Amino acid sequence: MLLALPLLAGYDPLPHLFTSKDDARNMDCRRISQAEANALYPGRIPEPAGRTMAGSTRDVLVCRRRFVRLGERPARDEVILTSLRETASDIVQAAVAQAPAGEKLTWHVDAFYPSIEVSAKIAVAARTELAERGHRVSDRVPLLAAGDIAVLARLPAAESYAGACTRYFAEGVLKDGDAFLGIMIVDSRETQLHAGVCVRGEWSWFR
Amino acid sequence: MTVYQPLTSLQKPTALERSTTTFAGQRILLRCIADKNGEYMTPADSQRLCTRLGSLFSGQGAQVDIAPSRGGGAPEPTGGLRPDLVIELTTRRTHEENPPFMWAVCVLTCSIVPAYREVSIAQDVSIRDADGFELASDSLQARFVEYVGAGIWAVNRSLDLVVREEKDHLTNGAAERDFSRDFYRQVNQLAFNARVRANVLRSFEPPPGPPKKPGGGNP
Amino acid sequence: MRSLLAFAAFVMLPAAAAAQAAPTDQQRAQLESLRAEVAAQIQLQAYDLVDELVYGWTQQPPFGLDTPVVLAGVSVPVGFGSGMQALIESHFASVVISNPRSRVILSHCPQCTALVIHSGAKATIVARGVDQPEALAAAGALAGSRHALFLDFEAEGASLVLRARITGLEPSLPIVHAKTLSTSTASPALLRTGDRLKSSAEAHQEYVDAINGLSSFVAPMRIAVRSYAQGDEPLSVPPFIWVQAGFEGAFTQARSWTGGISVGYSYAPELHNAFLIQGRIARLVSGTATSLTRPDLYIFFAASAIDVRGVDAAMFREDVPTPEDIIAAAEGDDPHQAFGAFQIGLETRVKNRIAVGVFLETMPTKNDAPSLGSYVTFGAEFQTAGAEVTFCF
Repeated sequence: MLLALPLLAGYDPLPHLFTSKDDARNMDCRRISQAEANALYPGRIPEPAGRTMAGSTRDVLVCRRRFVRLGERPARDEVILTSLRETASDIVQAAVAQAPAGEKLTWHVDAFYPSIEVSAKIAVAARTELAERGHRVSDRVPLLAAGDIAVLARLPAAESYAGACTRYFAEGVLKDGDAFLGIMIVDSRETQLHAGVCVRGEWSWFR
Repeated sequence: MTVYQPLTSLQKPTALERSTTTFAGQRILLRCIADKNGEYMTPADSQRLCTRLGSLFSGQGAQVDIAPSRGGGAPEPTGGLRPDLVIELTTRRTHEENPPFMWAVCVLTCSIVPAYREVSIAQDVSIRDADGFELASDSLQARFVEYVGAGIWAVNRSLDLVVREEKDHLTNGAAERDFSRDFYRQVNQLAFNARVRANVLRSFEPPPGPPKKPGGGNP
Repeated sequence: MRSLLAFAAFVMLPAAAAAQAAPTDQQRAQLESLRAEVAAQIQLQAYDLVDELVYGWTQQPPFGLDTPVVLAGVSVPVGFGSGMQALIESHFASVVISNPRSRVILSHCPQCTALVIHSGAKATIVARGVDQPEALAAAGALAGSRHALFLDFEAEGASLVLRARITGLEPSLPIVHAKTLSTSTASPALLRTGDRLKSSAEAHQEYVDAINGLSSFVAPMRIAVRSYAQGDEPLSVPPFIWVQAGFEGAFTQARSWTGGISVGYSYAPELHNAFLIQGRIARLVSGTATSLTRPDLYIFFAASAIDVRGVDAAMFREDVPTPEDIIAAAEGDDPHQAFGAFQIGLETRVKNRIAVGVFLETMPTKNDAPSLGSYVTFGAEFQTAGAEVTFCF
């Protein structure tokens, strides 16, 4: 009977005889109402009864397995990628609010992250989000000369991005009517992204 | 026997390792808010939680103050010094289940079939700067199922001793240890993220000094 | 129950995590197997997202006219290899070709995806052709294609996200179309085949209709054969063929628990008339819900009351039938036995319409019957083994 307890209860992601703690931790779980669960999983969750006691609510614990198990990718990359859609949306929304009102800007986006693959994902997410919101977006990444990059790379974050912004406009890589959205991490120990906007040679941090 | 399952955010990977200088020079104000009825987080418990968190941050170089539990609003400077970070923790119970029929079955089977009580909680963490601007927030949600029964304890204890590796143990306080580890790790990481964000939003300028006393002169 | 946060308050602060030991060969093998399984799941979900994307184009084409587009790049989730890339490219091509209403015409441009070296007055640039359209134009390689499509897949927690963008191949590389699609907990269950695209709402409605077509109550009609193990006596009980009918209901929406009651009749000329009434409960073991696409496996437990009349009933006696008993039976004084039985068995059921099962049955009050042996003794003596076919109406 004890062995069959999980069987009796249906699949329960709680660690027990047949589920290890690792398996439980690789589930993404949330509680939703029975009505919502019935709409999503009509074959498994019945419709809520027509009459319910006042104040009583039945909820359903919905768990989905992560596509990539924790530990497969570096910790910081995993956190950044797991929340990428939400983060990109927040960043884009704030960036657009930073831009001068009434101007129709062409946005350029680049990400500065230790992993090239993740950096590309971040940049693509932001570009796609901007384009979906109806903004003009260029797929071209503004580039500086190798000498400029060598100098800027040695500066701390407080100065390098502002310096790069000035150089973009000074060198004509970006022009009036262009805006640059930079997304980066500042400290290797953090698990969040920062962002700033470069317009007309002026850099401003907003996240 | 209590079994713990992280639901959201508690199982997120973290990139921060504890060191004695992570929060060096930071002033942190902690506020742990007890639930209104004191059913599952009494004021005494919340103060103890804040004390433990205070130890966590002071061990990493921070100056920590613990405020009495009170909600909302911009934090008042403590001792004339504005805190760099104000960490507010609020506990919510999101689900509770305690089926009476399982207790009856437990008694009838002499606890071979266990009774159980299930609770899901959400620990909302909000970190603000001295002006009340939110720097970071998260809701750490966990599920606990407490089994009452000799049979299930005996089976799992045997498995822990004979089969399972230490990291997979379910008995002997494993739930409390696992939850503590996850909880402190996430709060630590969140506080660090907030600290860096505050730095970025000030454009890396040093934080403003303490307010000057009337009549001039340094405090 | 006090909050376990209170426990957290009392537990010692965790020490710095110890360095993890290197994985063993067995763990590596397990990881590889898990990766293969995950890759297969991601591939199928990616196909679904591609279908969704192209379906959206058929409803709202990105271009007013048929437009040649180069598939410039497919990027897979971080940590996955290029094998999936090729599969997704093939699937995308087949879906687009099958749906000309999307107005997207795949175009072949090998120079677009190859590295191109462009030397100018200011600098020499080495980049892919799609990133340097002016170089392609100078080389005359842009004939026909003026747009490039990029598909980016990423595993974000429990969701797979597709970000698709179409870029104009001109110096400013403007993004002319962008779409983000995601499989997430908010996506309703779909039932969709690749050869006939439909919207998520249509696919979900088909799934709901299919689920609703599975009634909670059915009337099973069962043909079962019970075979009895031979005991110590030379006379053995012949197999009984039963016909049963009854009602069965599901306790849950997922049909993971079912229960029913049935009555049965068995007849053999000159040998026996037998009746039974049976209560049965079954539990789904092949998943958490019944499947629309594969057979379901149930384990069942049943309790029966069986009444046997006729010559065969004498075989269930706990004492050896005497010649007088047999003569009395021949003269019309039918032997009669009534007893209880408990079954355990497995049943494979397809779409709640037809099922095949095997079972073992124990008759606790007949352990001492000399004509009955046992097939298996496991806590109880199982004197009967059987098989059954069930038709559900």
